Amino acid sequence: MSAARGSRAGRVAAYAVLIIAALTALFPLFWTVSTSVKDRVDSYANPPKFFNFAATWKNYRDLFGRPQFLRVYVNTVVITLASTVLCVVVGGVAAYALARHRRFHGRRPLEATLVLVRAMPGIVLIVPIYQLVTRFGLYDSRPTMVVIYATVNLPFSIWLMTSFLEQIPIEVEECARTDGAGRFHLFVFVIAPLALPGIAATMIFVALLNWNEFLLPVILAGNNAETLPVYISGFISNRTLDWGPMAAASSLAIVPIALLTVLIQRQLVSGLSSGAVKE
Amino acid sequence: MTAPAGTLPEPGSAAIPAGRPERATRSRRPGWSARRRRLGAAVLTLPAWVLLLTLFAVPIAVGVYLSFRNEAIGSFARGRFVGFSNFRRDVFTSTFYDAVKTTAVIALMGLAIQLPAGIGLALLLHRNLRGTRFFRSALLIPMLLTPVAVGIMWRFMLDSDLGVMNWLLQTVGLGHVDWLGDQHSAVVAIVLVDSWQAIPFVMLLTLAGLAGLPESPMEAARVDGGSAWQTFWFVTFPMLRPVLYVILMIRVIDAAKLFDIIFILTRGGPGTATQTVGLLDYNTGFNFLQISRAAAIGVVLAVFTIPVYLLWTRAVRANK
Amino acid sequence: MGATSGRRRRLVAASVILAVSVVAAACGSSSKSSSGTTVAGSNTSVAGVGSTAPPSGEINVFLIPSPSSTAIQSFIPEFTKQTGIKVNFTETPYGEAHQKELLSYQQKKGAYDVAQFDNTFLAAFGAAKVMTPLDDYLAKSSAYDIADFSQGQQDYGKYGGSTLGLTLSTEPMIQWYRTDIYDALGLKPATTWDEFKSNAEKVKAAGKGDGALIDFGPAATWWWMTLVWSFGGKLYDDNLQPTVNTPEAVKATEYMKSLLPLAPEGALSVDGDGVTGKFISQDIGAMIQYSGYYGFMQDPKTNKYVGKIGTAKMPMGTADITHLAGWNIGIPADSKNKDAAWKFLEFVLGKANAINFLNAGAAAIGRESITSNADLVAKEPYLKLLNIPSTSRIERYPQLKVWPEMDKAIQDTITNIFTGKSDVKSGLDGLEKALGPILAGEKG
Repeated sequence: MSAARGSRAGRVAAYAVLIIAALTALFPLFWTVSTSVKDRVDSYANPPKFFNFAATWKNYRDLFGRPQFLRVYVNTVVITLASTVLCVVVGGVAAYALARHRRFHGRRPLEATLVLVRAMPGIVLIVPIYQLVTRFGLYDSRPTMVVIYATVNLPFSIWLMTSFLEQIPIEVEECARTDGAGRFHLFVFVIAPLALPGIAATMIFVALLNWNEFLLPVILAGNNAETLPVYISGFISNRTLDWGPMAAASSLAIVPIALLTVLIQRQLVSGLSSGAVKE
Repeated sequence: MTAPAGTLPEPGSAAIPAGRPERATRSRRPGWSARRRRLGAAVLTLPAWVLLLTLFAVPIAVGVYLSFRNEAIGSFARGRFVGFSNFRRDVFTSTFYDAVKTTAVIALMGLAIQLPAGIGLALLLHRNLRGTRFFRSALLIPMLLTPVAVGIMWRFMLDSDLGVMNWLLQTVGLGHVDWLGDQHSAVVAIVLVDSWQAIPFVMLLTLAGLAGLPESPMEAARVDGGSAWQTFWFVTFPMLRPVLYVILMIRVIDAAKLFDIIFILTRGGPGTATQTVGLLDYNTGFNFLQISRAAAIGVVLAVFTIPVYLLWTRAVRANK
Repeated sequence: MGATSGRRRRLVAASVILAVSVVAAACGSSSKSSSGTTVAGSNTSVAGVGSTAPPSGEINVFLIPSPSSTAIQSFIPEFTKQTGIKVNFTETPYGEAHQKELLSYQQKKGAYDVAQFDNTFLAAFGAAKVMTPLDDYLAKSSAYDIADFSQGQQDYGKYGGSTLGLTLSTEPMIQWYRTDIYDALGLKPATTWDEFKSNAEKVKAAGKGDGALIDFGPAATWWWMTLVWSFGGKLYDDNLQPTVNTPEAVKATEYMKSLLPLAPEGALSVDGDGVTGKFISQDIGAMIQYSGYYGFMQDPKTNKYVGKIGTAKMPMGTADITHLAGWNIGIPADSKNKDAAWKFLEFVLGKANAINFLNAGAAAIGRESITSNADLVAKEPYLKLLNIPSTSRIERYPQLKVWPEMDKAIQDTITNIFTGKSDVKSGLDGLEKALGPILAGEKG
């Protein structure tokens, strides 16, 4: 391995850079969580208080004491889940076609559309969608949000799953087919289980993107379908006076993601980018 | 809509080896004619088409329609056709050009920071020093965090009087920056926060690219007495080019789409210093409630994505 | 291969954990989310049983986060207990609130029965005819007692002669100062803008902190137009032609710019709330701010300087004006339960509960029974500032439907002036030109 090489000074320098980078990466997270357990007076202290403060759960109590917050959290989970499933199912089926058939009707246009959807700034679509959705009485509805979220992340989900499906040897399918498996059986009992790790990885990534989505709900959601990022952004315009609950809400949004990132980091490297470089 | 977790290139593009799928399509499948198979494949993409048509194609068409009318949110008067007046008023103006410039500056500054930093960190991690797994975890964490929450926490840290950033700068004797209040430093602040999330992404894809490279050319270079830098520049870098191209494409797209972080940190301010085209469009549509004028800006933005699309497909074809 | 399958197993495990937690949450929600909006009333199982007399049923209240909104919420359980009317509420951030309200009214589904809105939007709502005129209710309601308001305040919610919103808060811009700093330096609260500035200079020179703070950031327009009025200018004339580069406006802008060096360094990025946030967190001699923030000043959890903050009338320029702001609250025209909605407004904002409402932390409402209540005023001296003398001309946000765009245009211009990107005169000349087409949109 190349690892062992390099002078001692080089190694020291490398560690110095890595340590600084890691601190930079982690500090904001630490700061958010620590602010979330501080009283306002402590969070506004100058010089800042890193550890020398009395922790308080007040901000979290405050947050969960707001009836709207729980609803928002539940909304976010429900919308994330439903749109992820929709996105991965629709995307998975399309990805199968792309992975297994080099030529078919509409392949080129589909590929082109996916690139365009991925490249198009959200605001371009949201203005007319807003007009359509309000015209047809679909404003502030969770199903509307689910469908739109799923569409926006469709390119990502299709590309990712295509690359996973391409790694499943075609021989497996041929074997099953010669054993007389029907198309449906083939898909559900042969391919799906083999593709499961890829599907799971795709689900996680799509779920994270959905969880983080902001522009769509800030415009298309009213009271019923409001999601966590929108709720958090509301603090900025109204409650800059107290960073505590704001930090608490932010912590509840990002700490699960941070943990998930650590948990699946091996897959992030090998899985997410497998299509990009593997083999 | 920053979509920090990047996206894979289209199947068949530079980065995807074509071996397996090639075999897949050539194989004979007893019982199913090629035609039926093709039809089947087309049918499988139908659900995706339904979503893409209703929520992409239709909105684009409606956007074009709206851009020639004078609809406003909350206006109870019926809109009417107004020709190109929305474009005259909101597109061919200095406000719009400024926004284009701001968007470009933020994107370019971001690339200038994110690519070297991301690639550099990937090279360090690739050396597989002791503790690499820990560092890799730590460095990846910012990548997928909710941009809105990220914006909030940075806004708190960047507060000019009470923020921890200025405390740090002052402690090490670097003075005091009015991060979000000054026209130039606000741009820098946005680029820094965006980079904080994007560098891990660049690093991740570069790492994956490095993992896929054969070791022997590097070994050979080293045996020949090349320095680490020469090895990287003349051997590793050229081999990484396809992956780097993909990273570059994705970063350009996402920088142009950058919205959440700006919305939270500055809302385009101070003044119009950080007002990108996306922010301008948002303000026009949802602050001024001028939905038709917003649609006109959107139409122009949509046209801007066509070159991106062409570059992308060209990259795909060139690498086939 | 072994490594891969291990990796796979871990990935599957991770996704299973994710899926399980998500599903669990979703299941938990399904029962809750159907009643998702029924928040407040649900704790009273008595609701709807006891009372048979109309109005009854359920109302939905649209609120915008603010001390007033918080206070309203605290009245809901009691109201439900007394009337059996179930009250659901939602809070929507200011930035999106009015757009969402307009949209909701446009849908005509009666989504909301009571709605809070900023006085800025009175004109837009009035022009669109989306609010119910409340005059008939007011005429009949002794519980609300509109006569408890001075004439000027009665007009606060009127558009085109009819009352579309009750006053939910009365918030003139006033002067706030640090009594400890002012006492130490022998200063008195300013009566003129020149004095205000020289006080600030003295505070700064004495090293007691920053001199003074107003908003130079995203909400700077509000302070700027106040100064323009105070210096004798206006934003536009009767024909909707802009008048923002007049000598008065130039002087006001120059004055505002001269305060910037006396403000804390981050002043250019501070928003309206942030002005108060800074004032109660660091040493600043004085600020000009809406009176509605008074509640924050009394809480030692938020204010480092409790008991050291004094209030006074805003300094005067060439004209004696009072910039009066404050929330309105009314009944959307598409409401399906207007009587119950009125009953709720009457309960929360009526005369009987007025003191309770104030004590619940709300920004004060300028009822005479409040502003002249000796006990209350002794405790909270600022209340008498809400009694606006008839000599002071009341100025409000421009009642224009194009105001948001105009606000932004002004904001962009004065930011350029403050940061030195353009000088005062040419900046305002440019603004004059830019406002022309925007104001023209008001007629169209």
